[in-house]
Amino acid sequence: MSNNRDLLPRESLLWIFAAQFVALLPQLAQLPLWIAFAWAFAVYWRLEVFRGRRDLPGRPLKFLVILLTVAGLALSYQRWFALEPMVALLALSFTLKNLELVSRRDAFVSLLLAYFVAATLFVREQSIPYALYGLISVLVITAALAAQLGSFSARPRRALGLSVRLLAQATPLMLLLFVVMPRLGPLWNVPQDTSAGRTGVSDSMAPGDFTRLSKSAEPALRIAFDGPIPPPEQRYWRGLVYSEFDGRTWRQGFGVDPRNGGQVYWKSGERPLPQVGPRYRYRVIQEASRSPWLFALARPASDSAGVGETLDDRLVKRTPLYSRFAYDVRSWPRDPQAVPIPLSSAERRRNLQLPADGNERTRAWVERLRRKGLGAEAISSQLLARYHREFTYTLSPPALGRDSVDAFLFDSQKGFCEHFAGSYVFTMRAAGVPARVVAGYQGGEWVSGEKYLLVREYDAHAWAEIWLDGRGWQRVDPTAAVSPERVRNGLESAAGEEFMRDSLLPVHRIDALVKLRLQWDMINYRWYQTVVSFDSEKQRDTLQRLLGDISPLRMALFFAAPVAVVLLAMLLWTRLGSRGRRRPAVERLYGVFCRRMARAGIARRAGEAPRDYAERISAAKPHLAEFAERVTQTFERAAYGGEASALKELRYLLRWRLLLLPRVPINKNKLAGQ
Amino acid sequence: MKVTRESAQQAQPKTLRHFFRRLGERWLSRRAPRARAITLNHSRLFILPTRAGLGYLLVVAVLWLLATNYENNLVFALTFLLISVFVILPVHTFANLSGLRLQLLSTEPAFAGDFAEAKINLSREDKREREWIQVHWPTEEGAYVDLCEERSADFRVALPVLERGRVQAPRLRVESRFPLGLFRCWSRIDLDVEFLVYPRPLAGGPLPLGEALVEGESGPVRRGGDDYASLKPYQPGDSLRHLAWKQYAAGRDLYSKEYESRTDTRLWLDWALLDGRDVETRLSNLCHWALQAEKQGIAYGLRVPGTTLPPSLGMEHQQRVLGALALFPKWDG
Amino acid sequence: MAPVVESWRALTPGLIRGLRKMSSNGFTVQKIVSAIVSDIGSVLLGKERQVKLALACLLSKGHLLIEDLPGMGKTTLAHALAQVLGLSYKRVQFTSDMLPADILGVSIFERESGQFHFHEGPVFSQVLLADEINRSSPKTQSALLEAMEERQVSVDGETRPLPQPFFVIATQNPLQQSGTFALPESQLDRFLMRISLGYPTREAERALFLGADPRLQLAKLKPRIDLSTLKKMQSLVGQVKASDSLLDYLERLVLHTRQSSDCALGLSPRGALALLRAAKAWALIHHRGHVLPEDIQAVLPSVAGHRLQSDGGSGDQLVERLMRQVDIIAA
Repeated sequence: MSNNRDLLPRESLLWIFAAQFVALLPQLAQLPLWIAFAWAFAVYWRLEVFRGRRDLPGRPLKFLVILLTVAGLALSYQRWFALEPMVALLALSFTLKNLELVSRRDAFVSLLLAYFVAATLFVREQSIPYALYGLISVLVITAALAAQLGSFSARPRRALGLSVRLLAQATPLMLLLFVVMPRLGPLWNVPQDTSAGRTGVSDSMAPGDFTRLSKSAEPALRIAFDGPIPPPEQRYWRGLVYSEFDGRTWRQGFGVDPRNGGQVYWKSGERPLPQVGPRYRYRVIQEASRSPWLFALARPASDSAGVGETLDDRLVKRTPLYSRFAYDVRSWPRDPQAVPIPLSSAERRRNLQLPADGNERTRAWVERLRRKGLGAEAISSQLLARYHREFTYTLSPPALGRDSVDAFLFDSQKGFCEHFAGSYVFTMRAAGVPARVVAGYQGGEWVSGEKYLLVREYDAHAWAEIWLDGRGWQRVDPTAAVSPERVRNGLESAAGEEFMRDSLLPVHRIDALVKLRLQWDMINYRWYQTVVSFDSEKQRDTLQRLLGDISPLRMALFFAAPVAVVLLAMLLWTRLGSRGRRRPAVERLYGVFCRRMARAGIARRAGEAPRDYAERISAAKPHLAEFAERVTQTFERAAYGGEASALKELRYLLRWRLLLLPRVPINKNKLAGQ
Repeated sequence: MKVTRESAQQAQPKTLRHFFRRLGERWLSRRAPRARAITLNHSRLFILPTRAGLGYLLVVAVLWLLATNYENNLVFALTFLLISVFVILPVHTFANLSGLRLQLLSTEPAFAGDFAEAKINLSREDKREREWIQVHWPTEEGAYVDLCEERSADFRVALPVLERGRVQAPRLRVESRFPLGLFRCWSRIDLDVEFLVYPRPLAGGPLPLGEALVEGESGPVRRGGDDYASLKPYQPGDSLRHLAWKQYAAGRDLYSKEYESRTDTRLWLDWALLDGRDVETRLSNLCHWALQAEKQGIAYGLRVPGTTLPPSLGMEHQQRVLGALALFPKWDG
Repeated sequence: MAPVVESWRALTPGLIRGLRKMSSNGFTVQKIVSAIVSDIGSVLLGKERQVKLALACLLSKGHLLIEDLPGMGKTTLAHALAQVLGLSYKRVQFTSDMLPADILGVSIFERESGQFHFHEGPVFSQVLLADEINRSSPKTQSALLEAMEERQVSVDGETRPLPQPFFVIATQNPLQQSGTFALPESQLDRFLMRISLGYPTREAERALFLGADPRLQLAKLKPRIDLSTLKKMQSLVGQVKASDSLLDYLERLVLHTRQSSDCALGLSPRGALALLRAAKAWALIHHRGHVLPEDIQAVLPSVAGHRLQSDGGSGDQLVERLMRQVDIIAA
């Protein structure tokens, strides 16, 4: 008998499937396809069972299915302790649970799992659309929970309405908790979602890499300044330094990457900070890049946790960026380094390294210049002048042959930043000047509303640095020689017609859309600033702003007051709501009398009229007779005669006179004796 | 039910648990005294998370770990949202029961070993819709009631009864898990439900037709039997079926035929007929006979020590007979 | 002058005015009621409660149905009431062959005048005792009951008003008796009250044996009030106050009959109104300017007993249960 009630009705099933679907939908793109099919098949099977056409799978079959799914997981994922396999495992547990979705308990398990799956979505990305979608899934799952209670609750409008109401009522408390609850920081190392992230500046540079980036308008960095703002031509966001060239591709080379032994100063103050020169203070919010490289102006220092400085003046993060990351930086980009530390011989060798052969024409040309007795700077300006005179800046450079530097410098003479930077560094090294390619972003677009700089992927740029004895590393941007607009105004003005030629929607051509896009980015920025990057530091700031001073008492008040108000309001709502019409005062007072008499041992029977009751009291408890008689008469006059004065008297009787009632019957004999 | 529970308790040694249960019952009876109509309010309602609610908390805890380890504020937000929902849920669950009025309408007699049903009315006076209210005796499924559009609903709740007599039902449990099933709010109320339980009908042989043990064949003359006796002048009000149509057709006045029977051929269900069986079996057999006789349309009377009911037929008579059997004093020896 | 009503403060101005007027005429409600009750009590021993109920019924302008076995004094009660109130009185013994015209009257052609002349039936009286009403055919019953409701009679297309006041006291035998046609519910509803007299108490019966013939006593009864006083008293009933608390109680009672599964049919609005009116009359009879729950409980069996239908058990048991289940103050 009790089992029947526990079996899931149709509405419950459909709601569960809806909740699972909503929770799984955004994950499907990442999950192996077979999981989606398995889930759909399990749903189909369960519905067939409901229609009575099939039975739930037996134990051997279930066992087989479990084996199959485990095998499938093992095949699909080599790594077990990562986010995707975890999500996949959850999705599969849905699927398997569907095959034994019988009782109310199973339904609860399934829906609680759904909450969890919905949450893993946020681990992947925390943008506004994801947040909205997450909210919708929570709404649906909650509605599904509500729908488990009965057919009336399972009506879509009713269930969703209830869910919306509950979540809306919970929101104030949620906000409070969000602000107040302490963040502990990671308790242990967790597997990251390695599937996220996009193209970006990578740790090597071959001809064509940056051309690819120039086609993407995805945001890469958002930079907000605190104080002075560098002029456009100074906005070089350094990310990587390439020192090793194999004739075609530029790489960082051995011993730079902290992952293979490059030295990094993780603690602030480990490296002396420059004392002079203009200093910029800014905060960079970097999109997930799947690499540890951070971007900053030259000579940076950062106090943010997990950020370190490398020897070649860059910032790196201890772990790759699988989600947005924000860090505070101070930079001294024009630090003259009054007394530069001389380049070590290893460093010098490293920055002079060239392939043994190849690009002979370039080497010959440099040799000619050197024979003329030109110094490093003269050769550099010769080359830059040549770029300026003969070269063309284009987003669609022709393909280059084996000796790519030769081909660029002497044949095609058309190229993109990477060509200019690569050929420049090659030439300088050939001339015996230590030089390196620096990759990162250059420029950025002001979003005036928030006063932050938006750097997009197409702002990716490569330039060069040469070592000048006595002056240290000096930035040289060969691209600026051929196309000064690139540096001043950005890629769009430099590339003209070529800019974003392949994109489906030429957004940049429509003013309104450009504005809209910036607006959207601003909203995103604000979202990130206030919500996503809300950490214990910001928490402290916020609380300090709200409370003035964080004392335990204030904290407790701050936390307890709203909770108390909310709970009180809800309690009041239920009490008032459930009361319907208030009982008249007379009847309540009479109720007091009845309870008192009941305690004395004579409870009023339901439906017993006051006079009958009074008589019964008089008969059973003579010592209460007078009082009962008086109360009854007064009650009758007040309740049925409508006398206002009687109500007052009744109130007096039951508030004060009641207290004087003898607790025990007065002994008649004793009384007589007195 | 109460009887069985008590006997079960007697069988157990008096444990501490037993003591606490008794203490709880006493406390409850003071806090929520017996009445035929009860309005649920905060003093009678209790609320605790269900097992699903604990599972929910577990999920919240895991989500918090996830959020902390990934330093993911959206997961934090979700965690806190779920916590907040959990905090406000009891208010809803409580509100779903609070202010409801339960009233015992009637109880229906039942046979021992069967289910006795009480008819109960559930009503609300306020505007709030109520859902998914379970009213049941512990261990039984009971009834599920919604008060959505309607303000009042009648329903039946069944209780298995094992022994005949007047059975005082244990406390009813009114329960709701609205809205998400994560909290259970309940009240144990005593609606003063008392069942009249007839003995369990047990076949004890064929009906004792013509076996009148008392007084024998020479009963008093009774009017209205099967045997035709005489004619008497018709009076308005006499049954038309008894009109002497033949005489009327022959030109005489209207007459009524009179019938009478001299022998007591009536069916007496007699205690003495079942000599040699124990009390309960006798009562069960008598009960069975009464049902049979009623079904076959034979007027029957009852003779048990202390009670004699003259033969008759019909619902009321049957209830009287069965009632007499049910309330037959228990043999305590 | 002694107050006629327990508490003057509780009275509505209209009631006070009415009572003053009557007092100035030498009457008080208290005196009238006690006189009437004692007068009738002298012929119908030990039935004070029933007499009062009948009086309440009359004062609230309702018709009365007395259901009891023959010889219990039904007729005596009806007769005594009419006598004491100084009203014209007719009695009709209902039989199965009775026709509607026997009650309402008939138009007869008179040769002298050459015109149809209407001969009024027994219904044209102030008090009509309809004896054994359930012996007549449904057709005749309904003719009477129609007259009761409309307080007028339509014969041969002409509508004739009945005298004022018009008060029907019907008696009927218990339904189990043979040769009866039960009154349908719709017609039972027309009677404000149904009472039964029941066997007299031992003392009353002894007094009956010792005392003079009630019939002779009956003849000695003198009218205690006149028509205008009766009408005034009837209008006073409407002035008796029913407080909110009382109306709540009444509402709960009525609602319970409609909701409870005990009752196949709940009290109709007319039944509820009748209940209130009868309770008011009862309160007035007991010299009160307001209605108490006791008043309702006192008249409830008589007013509701025949209106409620139950699955099992009689209406009276139902009323008994009803009173136990509905508390006088809201829970």
